[in-house]
This record gives sequence, structure tokens and C-alpha cells, in this order.
Amino acid sequence: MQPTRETFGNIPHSSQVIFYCLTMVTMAVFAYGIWRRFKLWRQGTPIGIQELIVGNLRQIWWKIRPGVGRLLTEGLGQKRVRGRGLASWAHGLLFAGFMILFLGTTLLEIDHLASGISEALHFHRGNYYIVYEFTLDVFGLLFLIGCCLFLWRRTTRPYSVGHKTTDWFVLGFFIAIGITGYLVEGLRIAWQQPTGIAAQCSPVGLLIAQGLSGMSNAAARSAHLGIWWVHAMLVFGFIAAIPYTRLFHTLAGPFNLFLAPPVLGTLQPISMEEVEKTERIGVSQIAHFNQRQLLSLDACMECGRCEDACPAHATGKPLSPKQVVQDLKRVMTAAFAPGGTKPDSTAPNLRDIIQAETLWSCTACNACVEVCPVRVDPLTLITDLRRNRVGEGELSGTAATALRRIQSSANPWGLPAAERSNWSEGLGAPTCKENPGFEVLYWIGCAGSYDRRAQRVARAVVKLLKHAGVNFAILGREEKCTGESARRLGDEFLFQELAQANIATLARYNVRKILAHCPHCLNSLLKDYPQFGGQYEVIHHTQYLSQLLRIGRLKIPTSDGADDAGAVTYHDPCYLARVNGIHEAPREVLSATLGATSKPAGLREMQSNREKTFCCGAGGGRMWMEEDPNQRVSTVRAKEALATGAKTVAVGCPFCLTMITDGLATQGSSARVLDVAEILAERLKL
Amino acid sequence: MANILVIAEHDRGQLKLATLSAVGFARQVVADAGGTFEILVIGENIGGVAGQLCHCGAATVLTAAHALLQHPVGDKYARIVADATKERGATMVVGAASTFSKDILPHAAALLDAGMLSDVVEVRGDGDDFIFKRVMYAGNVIATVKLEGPVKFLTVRAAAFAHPPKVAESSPIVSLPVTADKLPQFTEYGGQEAKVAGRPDSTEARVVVSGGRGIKNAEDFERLVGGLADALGAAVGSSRALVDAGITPNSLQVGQTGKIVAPDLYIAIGISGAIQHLAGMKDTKVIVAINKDPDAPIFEVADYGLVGDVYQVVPELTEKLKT
Repeated sequence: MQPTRETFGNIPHSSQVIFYCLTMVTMAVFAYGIWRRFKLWRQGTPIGIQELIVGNLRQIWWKIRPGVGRLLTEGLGQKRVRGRGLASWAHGLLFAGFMILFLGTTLLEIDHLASGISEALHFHRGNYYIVYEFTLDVFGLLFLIGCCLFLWRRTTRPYSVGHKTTDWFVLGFFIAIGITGYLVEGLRIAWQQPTGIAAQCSPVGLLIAQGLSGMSNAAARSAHLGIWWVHAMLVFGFIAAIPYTRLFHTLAGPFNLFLAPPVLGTLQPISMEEVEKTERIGVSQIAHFNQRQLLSLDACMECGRCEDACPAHATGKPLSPKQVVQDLKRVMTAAFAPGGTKPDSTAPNLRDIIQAETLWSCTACNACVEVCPVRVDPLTLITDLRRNRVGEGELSGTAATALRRIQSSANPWGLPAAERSNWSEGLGAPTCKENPGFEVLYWIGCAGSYDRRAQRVARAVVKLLKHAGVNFAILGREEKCTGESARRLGDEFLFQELAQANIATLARYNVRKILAHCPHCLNSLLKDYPQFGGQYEVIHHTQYLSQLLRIGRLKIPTSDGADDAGAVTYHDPCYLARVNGIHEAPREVLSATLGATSKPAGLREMQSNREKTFCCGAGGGRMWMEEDPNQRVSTVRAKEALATGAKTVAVGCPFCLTMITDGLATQGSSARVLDVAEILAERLKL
Repeated sequence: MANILVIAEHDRGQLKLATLSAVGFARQVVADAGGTFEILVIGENIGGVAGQLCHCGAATVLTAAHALLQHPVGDKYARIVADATKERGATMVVGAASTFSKDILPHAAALLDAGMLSDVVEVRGDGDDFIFKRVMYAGNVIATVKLEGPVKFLTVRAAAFAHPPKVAESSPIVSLPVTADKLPQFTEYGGQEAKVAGRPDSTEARVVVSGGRGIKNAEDFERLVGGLADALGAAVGSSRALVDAGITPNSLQVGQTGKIVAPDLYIAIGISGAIQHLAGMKDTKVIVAINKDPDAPIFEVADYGLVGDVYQVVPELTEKLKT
């Protein structure tokens, strides 16, 4: 006889009927729970989700392909869940166990229905049965191990991990479901008495059955029925509870993964028509967020990774990305709940929920966006709120002054636009007018143009380009601020004004390829400008220099007994490394430069590097705001840099240059802060 | 022909020097277009201030003295200015561009339904009328404008008009009657927070001495920066680094997130010249930098630079200035 077991074996017909009735009730409670949240999301501004299913199958596939890809790699593959030690392991085990048990139960039901039609369709037997039983037994153990790890973590949880009393019930339910599942199996083996492989393919069940060997067959049968019911009721309870507990992330998370576009470094533009129609800029009420943003609030299950990654939070500022998401979720739930206030009439103004200090503390470093396992985007939520506050004239102080200056003089320091190209006097850097046949445009940015310190970086780049014989040009006085800071601060229309002016200038000179030493300019030209018709190939100067070194147009002289300047560490700028994935090029330039000295001191890495870099504190318009000396992001980063023992901190961004210099000075350090280009130019004695 | 009324500004018995720029403006207009000008001093016990203005070439120095006018309270002062304008038949009312004038002149202009211009840097005649140049958008735009109406109110930038030379003959002092119950009672004087006594405000001073990270503690700041400032009669300022370190109070900070100063002479001691600091002093006429680091960016903006240890150089400089 081939190994198998009867589905609903030992379960009387009456119990089966009740079981299916309860299944229907459970599914109804489950569906209602989802519907309840779905209604909340629908209150947001439409995202045109129906667009996804317009067209022929091929077109639909191309539209949903990226989302499906994310579901497979980041959902099933758990790609973004990894990297948090024990918690990631616990989640991986629990998730794997759960998915296999869920799949197994589904297959069992299919087999049951199939066998009901014809015995010939019954497939739950033979070798299939053996593999099935063994797999489920093993994954059941993984599931339980995952639960226990989570239980341990919940008792010793870090501050950033959210907690509700229901979390204990959820874990308790899971463990009880696992244990009763094994008991049912053990009791089934105890009364069914399978032999050989049919018993051995369920090792855990067999072990339990051996422990129950003294039990009479009748006792085993009645205990089996009893425990089976307990197991079934627990499963019903768990399924019904999903939309009402933290477990809802198992649905909202994948939905969000499917719908969330990769957003690092991009922001949705606002049009004047839109503002005229809605009579508002940005978001002041919960219903002003779009439907996907509202859904993302439910996807958050408070794992706290964003809070741990947030530089503002790490320096004691009143901002936690997780808290912003959770606060908004609370408003969404309350504002749209039955009997609750309706949007637009008496809905609470988010001004009263998310404090101004919280919004303006954000450095827009994207660490929270990058780290979220289900692609919740706290930064866009914050920027949308900022847009409204700026539109309402609620930004005051030095940042508002910077915006005014950007508007009047096209640079945030309010220095005369006529002096924009003074830095290049005597350098022989041709303007587009002087060299219309240029191959690459060197974009200087406001810091490179006006900041005496950053001007040296621009000069070093020009010297290197000339040394390598690159056919380049600069815009000179025709260049204006890219508006990056203005956009991240929430002044969308100031940004658009500048973007349109710059795009017109770049079009006049037929610019295709842009070289920039400022990652903020780079990101804006690369990701903001295409939204307004400016398409360019934009590369960072470290990438360009690394290419020039590789093809031999820049050559580092062999050891000439140059002084060993000591160890060097490199600080990754957020908008270069994290947002645009550029982190190897600067290291290549540095290694090439250092490797050729007589005593290669080597490049030392800080603890937070590459995509996981820690902000310098200047992004998101924070460069223009006063920061409490005890809460400076730059100080934290400077300490991390000093901990490497480096004598030189290399940077690739003029804002980082300012902030890290300042941070090191407050530490009383004499370490030098230099741009990668300056280090290379120094080595080449330019 | 112009009949100008200059509003004098004073504090604790001392005439504010910016008033002399407004007088300089009036003298220029009168010299070009003909007419006379008068100076109005408002306050309590203002005989001393009025006396200081007697040799400016004014037709009359008017005083409006009353106990209620002890402090510069906008609604009361504006009423006095408006009444004086009407009574003296002034066609132009001028004050120095300052917080004082910003408070009072628009208020007075509104009472008379007259036009008002702020931050005037140049004036020339245009037939019977005048054409003014005024600064807009943080100095990036100079607007050329005319002002409608029989009476014109304006404030002038102190740096744009030179202090007039003294004249021999003394102007008569005429006291204007002040009726207490005619003065509005909307605003009441609450109090005044006095700054570090003795030194001028850095935003007004013609010379500012400023210290940066090169200075190690508060005593040294007072000795080096304060000492040099006192020798020059200058105001003191500081970079953010010293404020952070608790060496100087917030009120001294010059820069992007501090005060914006535009003196004739700015002496930067131990300041490296970060853009945030430079943004606060970019309109300075002459910059002198003292720093031991020859590579400090401050030397790139300085008109005169001295590479040396501030602890050694500054006391020497102060000593020489004193003798």
C-alpha cells in the first residue's frame, strides 16, 4: 500500500460541516478587515491604478513587470528584510515556514476537492506524499524556531521596535498553531499506525507518537479530534486577526512593494494647473496624500529600521521617520473611521499632528527610504508636508532667507550673480560661448562658484581636466542654482523656475553630457530635470577622473618619495553613494593616488560606508538652518571619521566638505578635509 | 524747491550717527534744488541731542519733548512726525534706514496719505520732482523710482550719503508744543534689553572686529577682539564656532545664521572664512584678515592679510593703535 493519509481522517462528517461553515465566517471577517482598510486608502488622491489593467495582455505585463519583480525578489526573496541580524533570521525562518505550511494546506485542500470529483485525481500519496510530509515537518520546525527567536527579541527589543500588547497574542497564536499541528500529526500516527517510510516521512510526528505509545487507539482517536479542533480554531482566529493586527503588513507590505516605484532621489512635480484646481500646494490633510502613500502607512509594521538609520534621530532631534508614518496612520484611521470626521470639512490639519521642528529636522538623506523592507517612503511624506508649510509661508528664519536669496540672486548666499564666475579668472576654463565645440559641460554649482573653500575644488577639477586634455566648457555667469535645496525644502515653484531657466540655457548650448562635483546638483540634473524636459548624461567628477586614470589620460607618477600624508578615509555623500549608487569611482581614484606613494597608507573605511553612509547633516536644506551645537549630525560623522585614525578625510561633495570640516574642528582635530579631486591634483603637483 | 524734515534718531542722550547721513542727504537735495531743511528731535530731555545738531546747517532744530515720548513708541512718534510735517509744510520727510525709521516713518506716511520709499541710495533732480535710486532684493537690484504726491517719506542708507561738514552758524532750537491727550495710546513701552554696554551694534558700526576659532576662550576674546575693537571704537562680532563653544553670546554672531553686517572696515581675527560667515559680511568695504594659516580662505576675500599668531599680533596692533 502506498503511503498516504486520509484528509479529514478521524474527523466526523458533522465536524467537517462545522469546519467549512467556520471557514466561511473567518474569510468574511478577514475580507471585511481588508475592505475596511482599503476604504481608507481610497480616500487619497487617485494614483490611476486602473491604468495598470488597460491594454492588451502584453502591454499589461510590461506595466506590472517591475512590480511583479519586486514581489518576487523583495517579497518572496525577502531581499530588503535581510541585514538586521537576529531579526532578519527570525523573519526569514518564520516567513519560510509560514509560506510552506500555507502552500501545503492549499495543496491539501486542492487534493481533497480533486478526490471528491474522482479518485483518479487524488495525488496526495506515494512519493509525493513522502516529500510533502517531510517538507512540511521540517518547515514547521523552522516556523517554530522563527517564532521563538521573535519571542526572545520581543523581550529584549531595541527601543526603535514598536510594540503593542496584541503582539504577544500574535506570537502566542503562532506558537500554539505550530505545536498543536505537530500534536495532531503525532496523534494521527498514534491511531493510524503507519509503518516504514509512511511514518518516517513525518519525523516530528513520529517522535510524538512514540511518546504516546501507551495510549489506546480509541483514546488517541478522541484526543486527535479534540486537538484537531483546537488547531483549526487557532488557525481561524489567526486568519481573522490578520487585518486587525500587526500581521496586516503581510498584505499591505506586498501591495506596497508592488505599487511603490523606486524613488531614491526623485520627487513628484506639482503643476500650476493642479494648484489652481485643488487650491493647495502639498499636503495639509491626510486625504491629500495619494492612495499609494496611504496604503504604505499600513505597510509599516514598526520594525524601526528607519529610526535607527535616521541621522536627525541619532542626534536627538524631534524626528523619527517611523513616528511620522505611525502618526499619519493614526490620523488616517481616525479621520476616515465610521463616525469619524470626513476629509476636507473638519479633518484635522496635519500641522497639529506633525510639528514644524520634526519636518525641518529632516536632512533628506534617504537612509530611511533605502532601509525600509517594504519600501515605505517617509521622505516623500515629509516633503509633501514641507511643500504645504512653505506654500503657506510658515518657513521662517535662515532657510527662508536662503530661499529668498536663491530667488533674487540664483545662489543661496545672496552673492551677486555677476560674480558667479569670478573663481575661474586666470584658470583658462572656457565658457560655452568661447568653446562651442565642447564635449562635456562642467557644472560648477553655487558652492564651487562662491564658497572660497569649494572654489578650490572647482579649480582642482579644471586643472585636472586641462592636464588630461579634456575638451570641456563651463556656463560661467549663465549658470544658476539648480534649485535642489529649494525643492527638498518644499519650494517646488522656485525650483521649477530655476530648472526651466537652466534647461533653456543648457538647450541653447546643446549640452548632452554634464560633469558635476556636487552630488546635489548631479542628482537634480539627473533625476529632477528630466521631469521638465532636460535629459542629460550626468556624471560625477570622481567617475570622470577614474575613467581618465583608467584610460591613461591622467597618469600618477611612480613613487618619487612623496610624503606619506597618513591614512585616508572617504566619506560617502548621501546623494552620491546612497541615492545614485556611485561609491566605487571615488575609491578607485583614491586608491590609485595613495597606492603610488612611497608608503601606501591605504584607504580606511568608516563603519557606515557606501549605501549605508551617515549623512553630514547638510542635505534637505539643512545647510541653511541653524543646528544646536549638541545635536550636530556633522559632529557624529566627524567622530566616526576620526575613529579610523585617518589623517585626511576625503569627500566628494562641497556641502560635506563644509560640514565635515566644521565637525572635525569642533573635535579639535587637525585632520585635513579634501575633495578627491584636490588629493589627486596635489599628487600630480598641479 | 524742497522743504525737508529730517527725523533725528538718538539713544540715551547720544545722537545716532546714521542721522548725519540723512542730514547729508537733505543738504545735497537743498544744494541742488534749493529750499531749506529742518531737523526734528523727539523724546524727553533732548536738549543735548538738539545741541549736537545745531551746526549741521539746518534752518531750525525742532524739538518735541514730553515725558510720554521718553521711549521711541511707534504710534506716538508717528503722530508727532505727521503733525510736524503738516505744521512746517515739509515736502520731504527723511530718516536713516534703521529699525527706528522702519517703525515710525511708514506709520506717519500713512497718517498723511503720503508715499514712502525705503533704502534710498541716490537722488537727483528731475525738473520740480526727484528721481530716487533704491536698493531691492538684498542689494541685487537697484530700482530707479519717482514718488507721487506732495509729501514724500523716505529712508536713506547710511553708507550712501556722507556726513556733512559742520557749519559755523548755529541753527535756532524751536520747541514744538506736545499735547498729551492728543497722543494715541495704542502702544505702551514694555522694556528694553540692553546689549553689552559701551560697544556699538555690529550692524550699525563703521568698523567691526570679529573673532573666530583661533581664539581659545572668553577672556582671550575680550582681551584680543574686545581690546582691538575698543582701540578703534569698533563693534565686536564673532564666528559661529565661538558661539558654539560658549565663548561668545549668540547676539555677536555674524554670518548666514547670525547678523548681516556691512561696515567700512571688518577685521577678522582667527576666522578661516567659511562661506556661512562670509555671507554675513559680504558688503564690507575693506576686509582685514589675521590668521596663522596662510591657506585660510579668508585671505582670498581680504583686502589686507596678515599671517601670524593672533595671540602675538593682535596685542601688538592694539598697542600701536593706542599710541
